[in-house]
Amino acid sequence: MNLPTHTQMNSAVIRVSDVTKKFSNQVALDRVSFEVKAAANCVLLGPNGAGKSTLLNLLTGALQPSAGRISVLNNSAGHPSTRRQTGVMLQISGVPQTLTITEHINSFRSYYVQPLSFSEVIQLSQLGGLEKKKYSALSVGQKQKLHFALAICGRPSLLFLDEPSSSLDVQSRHHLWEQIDKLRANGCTFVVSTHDFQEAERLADHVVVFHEGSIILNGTPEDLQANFADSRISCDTSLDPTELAKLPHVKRVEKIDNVTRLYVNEVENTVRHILSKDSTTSQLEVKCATIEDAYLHLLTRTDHDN
Amino acid sequence: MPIYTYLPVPTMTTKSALRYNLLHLLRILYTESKLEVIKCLRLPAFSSSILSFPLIVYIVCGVLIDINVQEIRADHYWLVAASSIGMIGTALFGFGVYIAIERGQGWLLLKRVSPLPVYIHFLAKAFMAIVFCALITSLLVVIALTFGSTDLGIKQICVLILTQMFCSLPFCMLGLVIGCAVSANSAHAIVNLIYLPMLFLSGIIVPYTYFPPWLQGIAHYLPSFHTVQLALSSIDAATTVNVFLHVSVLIVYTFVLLGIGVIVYRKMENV
Repeated sequence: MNLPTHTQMNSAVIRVSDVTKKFSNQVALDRVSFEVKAAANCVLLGPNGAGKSTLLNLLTGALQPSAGRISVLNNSAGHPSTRRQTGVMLQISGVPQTLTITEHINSFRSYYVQPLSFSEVIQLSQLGGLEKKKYSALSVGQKQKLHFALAICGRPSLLFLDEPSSSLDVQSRHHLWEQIDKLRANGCTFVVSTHDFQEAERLADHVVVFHEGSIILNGTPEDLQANFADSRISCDTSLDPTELAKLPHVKRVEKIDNVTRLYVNEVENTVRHILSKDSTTSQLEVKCATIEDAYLHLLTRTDHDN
Repeated sequence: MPIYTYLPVPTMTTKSALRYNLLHLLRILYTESKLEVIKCLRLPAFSSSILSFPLIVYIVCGVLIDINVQEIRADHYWLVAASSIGMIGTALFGFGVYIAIERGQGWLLLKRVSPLPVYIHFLAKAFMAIVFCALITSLLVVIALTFGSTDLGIKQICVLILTQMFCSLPFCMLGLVIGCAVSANSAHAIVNLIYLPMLFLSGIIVPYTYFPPWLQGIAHYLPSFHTVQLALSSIDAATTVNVFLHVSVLIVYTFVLLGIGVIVYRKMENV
């Protein structure tokens, strides 16, 4: 398979350097910098108004930064050759109602030099059997699938998705995530803005957390979980809680009746240690920290620091 | 279902391979224009009102009441007046209001961030307005030949249709300015504020020769006035018409409004 140059070099496909965006006197993004590597799935997290949509608009070239530099696929954001290699799925309400799915997809396919075949687009976006339906006759979830189809129909090497599974049922969500996995396996890079932590956990290998126009975390989901949320190990053990609290990675220990609870940022070695010291340990239960736990903890801490 | 095979990465990623050629651009323009026409034809609220209003005006004023306008034959005058009403309405509502709606609902943003050159999107809308203009004028001619006393020849009919198609350009540009400048909620009201007074002041609803001199002075500055004069001359219904002047004024209007439209669009784009 011939991969694009940026994929072969494993270089950054997106470089955001010191970018600021102001609307009148309001700062939407403040000196933001980060990179997205080729074939990564970068998930943008943050509360409403944190600057995620502004960043997506800057990356797609819909907006121009007030200061700083953005490079997308080794070009400026919004450069015609960049647009021909990217697909965009936005949260929009105004797709022309009277055109059919076929007409919409063929219209977007015509914009690209090497689009996917119509049948591939239909198959990838799970729109089989609905080709002749007008947009106005589609359900909310089917509309969402069409928006995804319009994003992928140009055979893009970089995809920007804004809340891609927000209106989908469980089965369709999982199908969408599988398609994203397949596209990534072929070298496609994703930038996904979402409020859905299940989606973030499922898709992300790079997380950028925004808060009030600034990046408060830029790393892997594991970084986020390890640094900002504790996993919980519960067990019935004869080991002394005071001694357990001295173990590396153990942040806090509490004993309620027979159950000892350890809050840790590293599970595996702690469990090994407990079992090696007390082979009679029973009722072992591990609850791993989720991205959502970590995110909430991070936001609370950021608010507290401010 | 066939086994899914997908190769998402382009095999050619050099800039030259991704560049459009003229043929590709023309193909996009054709597809977009065709879909714009289909989209509007399938919208009953748009197509029925845009098509029916001029037809009603012509049937009532030109056929049933047969209102004579000075030395101009009633059916000829109202044929021109009704086709001008339809043409201006299509350009302002079909072009201007729809751009404002697409802006408000995010569709124009999706088009802007796609590889589609945005001028093709606007050209396709202008094409739709021109097609509707030709359709309205043709329908009016058919009614005029069937129910009226019109004796227009093929050449006059063709010249009238082409004249109206040309005259729709400045109004499309006016639609572009309005569509890029105002919100979706207020676009309809703003277009009505411009459309109805313009029809009146240019002498389409009431012949401008009935106006007091100061009001006639205003008419001379309106593109709709020059449109009507040019259209009347195309079917030899005008007494004294300076075709060169009217064509020049409409061309100047088209380019000035296009310039303003581009400025307003750029401003909107770089918020």
